[in-house]
Order: sequence, then structure tokens, then C-alpha cells
Amino acid sequence: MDNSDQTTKGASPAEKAGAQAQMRKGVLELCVLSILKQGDAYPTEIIDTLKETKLVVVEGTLYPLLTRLKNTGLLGYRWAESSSGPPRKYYKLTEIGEQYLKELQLSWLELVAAVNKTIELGKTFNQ
Amino acid sequence: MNKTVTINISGIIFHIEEDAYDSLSRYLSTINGYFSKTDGGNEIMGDIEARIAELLQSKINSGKQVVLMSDVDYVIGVMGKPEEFGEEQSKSESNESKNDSDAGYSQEKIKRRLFRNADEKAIGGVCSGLAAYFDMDTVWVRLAMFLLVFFGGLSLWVYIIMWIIIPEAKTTADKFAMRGEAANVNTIFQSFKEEAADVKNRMHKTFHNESANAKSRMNQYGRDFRNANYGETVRSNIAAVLNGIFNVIGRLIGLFLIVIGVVLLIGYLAGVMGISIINSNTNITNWKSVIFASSSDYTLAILALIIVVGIPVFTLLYSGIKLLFKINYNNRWLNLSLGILWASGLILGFYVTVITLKQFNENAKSKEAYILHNTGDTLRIKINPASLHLNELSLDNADDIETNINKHGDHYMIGERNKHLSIIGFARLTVTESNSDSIELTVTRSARGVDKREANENAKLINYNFKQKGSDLLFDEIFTVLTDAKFRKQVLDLRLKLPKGKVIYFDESVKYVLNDIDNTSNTWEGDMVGRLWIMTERGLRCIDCKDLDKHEDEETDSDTKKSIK
Repeated sequence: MDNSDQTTKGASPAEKAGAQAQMRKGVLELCVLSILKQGDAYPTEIIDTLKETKLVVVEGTLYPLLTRLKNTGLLGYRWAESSSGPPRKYYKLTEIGEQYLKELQLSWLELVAAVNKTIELGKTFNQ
Repeated sequence: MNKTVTINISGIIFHIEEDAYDSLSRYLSTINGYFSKTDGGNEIMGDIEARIAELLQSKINSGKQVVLMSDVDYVIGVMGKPEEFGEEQSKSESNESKNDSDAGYSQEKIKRRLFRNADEKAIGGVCSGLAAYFDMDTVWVRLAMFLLVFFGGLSLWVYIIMWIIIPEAKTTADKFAMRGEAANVNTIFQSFKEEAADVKNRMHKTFHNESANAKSRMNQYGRDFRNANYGETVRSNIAAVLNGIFNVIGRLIGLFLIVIGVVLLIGYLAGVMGISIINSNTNITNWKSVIFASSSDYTLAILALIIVVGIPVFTLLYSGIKLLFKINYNNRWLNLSLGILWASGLILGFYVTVITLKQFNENAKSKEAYILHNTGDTLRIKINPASLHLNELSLDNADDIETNINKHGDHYMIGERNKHLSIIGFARLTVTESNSDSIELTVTRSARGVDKREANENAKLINYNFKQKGSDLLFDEIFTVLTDAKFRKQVLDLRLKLPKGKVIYFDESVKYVLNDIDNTSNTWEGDMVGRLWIMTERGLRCIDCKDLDKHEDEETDSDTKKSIK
């Protein structure tokens, strides 16, 4: 009985982790596009950047995303020889991609503003 | 020293230890199964492999040239478990299906497979594995298992079998497959349907192709439709159809085997319990102690029976579960030891049977002949009222005695007198013509034994008496074998030889003793009692029952008359 009471009081750690993962995934596309706006990059570089910001926990999630973005025409790629290891696939933003990124950034800023406002409103409401 | 395998990932050569290779290839094939049906799946795989190659390369230097298990674990840790790919995957898939909903992309789901869930195990992880397979709460499966223990320990056996044959989910791929995509609780029946539908589809395709191909080839090449290409398509289609059919049939057979196995297991457990009940039933205890040469023989016989019957039941369940859940798992050690155990059970059973039958090897007879004098005109055959009667012995099963008495032939019973077991059998009396003028009675005791000597001793242990009182000949109805003797097919034969013309009367009481008496009217021995008979050349002839030798109808009439009396 005690356990069930606890679960109703607050989200379990697993639920929290799930929500965070969902949030990260939602903005992952935006982040990848933003990174590529700074210049061409191959997956490892993208991953390193994302890891710094703790947006990516496992790398496996990135590859399907890159391929999908490429297939929808937002990204292009070129092969480059590597001094150590296999040839690298450098992704770059296409023109459509740049356009798309601008829209995405705009709606992201709108979203952030809206969310922040909601949180603030919620705070005052509760007080 | 470890064996290494040389592999090529994304154009780079690696030397990798065998177990690490197994793990890596399983991981890659799991991911591959995930992306193979999606748009650009190959590309994703290519990217992933390139990254894996890079990661592995970072782990290798001139001092350490071989990829180890820990390196593969590291790679899998960095790249993530297939589950974590899955969320991204489902997102992109939903996008795709929005974009081109009628393109009919079907994402290849990872088929759910039955594993033992070692992460949530109470004993062997069987219940939690089953729960994962059927999308149920582990608690219910455990509860069911626990309750089924009370049905003769049924679930105990099933649990052990499952523990043995169901593999543990060790790798990430296994764990993923354990909770793999399944539409609903009825996974098995779902996949039945899928497979059946698949078969139907292919069948349709094959025949469709066949007719279409045949038609086009008829048009193009006339009669030459034994074209290699055409043959190949049909063949591969047929192979696929057969494969599907076997899949469905395999599962059905699996289900069938399990049902039979469970039924047999219940019967088997009931039997095992039955044996213990039998052991407490004195009647059968008595029989076993008089038949088997020693009590250890009996124990061995039971042991042999348990093994010889139990192992096939076990195997049936085992193969059924394997077929139904498509478990590709062969434990050679288990198979071998089961086989050896079964064979030794068979040999043991054979040995006990031979040993026991040997006790019946030889037959011996001991004869005693008596000449009877002063019998008067009519010899009256009766059962000695003073002799031992069945009800004087404490018999274990009174109901059985009734049925035994009403039958004619070799029937034995076991009774207990003065704390000693005795075997009881009916004496058998036959009447034939004598060569001489005198009335002669032969008493033959016969029994079996390991050898002639023992058989003879067994025969002499038969206890039987008769008495002559003037014209009355008083027989004991039964013989007994006293002093804890063994049952060795003891027989007591009485042969009464009468001279021609001698009249004999059978009292009602000898009904069960009469055996195989030649008579002119071919009357059944049971009907010969209560009548007067005269000895003739062709056997006994009835004096006071003319009605009997005419019609059978009248015979039954007289029967009913008698019973009314």
C-alpha cells in the first residue's frame, strides 16, 4: 500500500528519465542541423559536440536521424579520405536544410518563450 | 590462448576474439534486423559500422592488436542498446508512414522469443521469462506455477524442463528479443495466423506465377516452358511455402506434444502416487511379496517402470516446448544422459522380468493315488463342511472373491491366517472312466520353481485334504499354500476314475471345483451339480435330466428353474 502511495505522489525515476529522453529527442534534429550550420562534419564530430551538451546518451540514435534528414533533402554528404581509418562521410546542410533550420529555430525560440512563460505563470499561480 | 577471427568492418581489418566476435555479430544483426526494411537501412548500417570501426580502432594499438570482449561491450555501450535505437526508429517510421502511407513499409519487428529472464529471477527466471513472452505480470505466472504444484507437483516438472531447455537472455539482443514486438497476449496464435497467411500468400503467388508463366511461355516458346528461370522461381516459392507450412505444422505439433505430454505427465504422476497408494494397500502388497523373489526385485521393477515411462513423457514435453516456442537449443549432454538413463531403465526392467520369470522356470508334479472301497451304489461328491472355507480366512478384498468364485478356471487369492499369508486356489476335479473295476482317486499337486527341485518343494507345500465317509466323498473346496510361500502357479488336480456303470452324484457345493468333465450331453460343469450321472464309454451320462441333452432352450429353462428354486 505504501508503494502505491509513493507512485501517485511523484514520477518514478524511470518516468523522469523517459520524459527527459523524449525532450532530448525532440530537439535533437534542431541541434544536429545547428551543428552542421557551423560547417561540414562527419558523425563522430557531431556526436562529440552533442556529448558535450549531454544531448546524446547513445550514439545509435544519431544514425537513423542523419539518414532520414539526408533522405528528406535537408542534408547532403561527401566522402573524405581519413588519415586513420575508413573514409569519412561529411554531412553538410543543403539550401533547403538552411531554410528549414531557420524556421525550426524560430519555432524553437517561440516554444522556449511560451514554455518559460507558462512555467512562470504556474509559479505565480501557485503562490 | 584464445582463437581469433579476422573480420572486416567498413573496410578495416580487425582481429577479434571468438566470443567477442559472436557478441558483435549478434549485435549487428539485431540492429540490421531493425533497419533492414526502412528507407536507407543499408546506409544507416554503413554509418553505424563505420563508427564501430572507428571506436574499435581507438581501442587498438601496437601493444594490443586483438579486439576483446570488453572492447565490444564498450562499443555496444557507446552505440546504445537496440531498444534505444527503437524509439528513434519508431519516430522516423511514423514520419514515413505519414509521408507515403500507401507505400506499405512494414518495419521488420524483432520476433519475440522465449528466454529465461535472469534479471528478474526468483529461481531460474522461467516465470519472469514466460511473463515477458505473454505480456503478463510476473506475479500471476509465479502464482499459477505455485498453485499447480498442488496438482501432483505438475508445475515442478514443467518448471525443471523449462529451466533446462529455455536459454537465458544473456546478451542485449536476447533481452530485446525477450520483450520483442508482439501484437498481443496471444503471440503464439498471432504468429500462427501470420505464418498461415504467409503460406497462403506464397501459395497463391506460386500458382499465380505458375499459370502466368506457363501462359506466357506457351505463347512465346510454344511448349518449352521448362525454362530454368521459371523452374527456379517455382522452386524457391515452393520452398518458401513448404518452409511456412513446416513452421505452422511444427508449432501445431509442438502444441499437440505439449498437450499430450501434460496429459501423460498427469497420468504419470497419478501413477507414481498410485504406486505409493498400492504400497499401502495390503492386497497388492501381499501379491508383490508372493510373486517377486525378493522385495528388492519389486523395488527395481518399480524403478524401471518409473524410468521407462517417465523419460518419454519428459522428452515429449521437452520437444513440444521447443517446437512451440521455436527454441533452437540442443543440450547434447542432456539428450545423451536421458538416452542412457532410459536404456538402463529398459535393461533393468528386462532384468527384473527375466529374474522373476525364472522363478517359474520348471514345473513339478507330485502324485498320490488312492483306491476307494465300500462306496455303495451311488458315490456322492460333496465339499467337506468341516474344511476350510473362504470366509474363515481374512481375505483382503471380499468383493473380488465373489467374482473369482463365480468364474471358472485358474483363480488365486491371497488370504491371511495366523499372520501368515497363504495363497488360495480352487481344487480342480475331473471324472474319467477307470480301466479297472475299482474307484481310483489321484491327487496331483503341481507348482513351478527355478529348478525341478524347488518346483517339487513348492508343490509339496500345497495343503489339501479329502475324506471318504461311506458313499460320501468329501473334498476340500480350496487348497492353501501356507508358511509365507511364494506364488508359483500352484495347481491341485483331482482325478476320479470310475468303472463303467458306476453312478455318481454331484452335490451343489462342488460347483466351483468341477473341471472339464466329459459327459454325453456336453453339459457345462456348473449345471452338472444336483444330478445323478452314470459312467459310460463316452463319459458320464445324466440319469435324471433327460431334458438337458435335447435342446438348448430347455437347458436355459432348467437354468431359470434352478435359480428360482
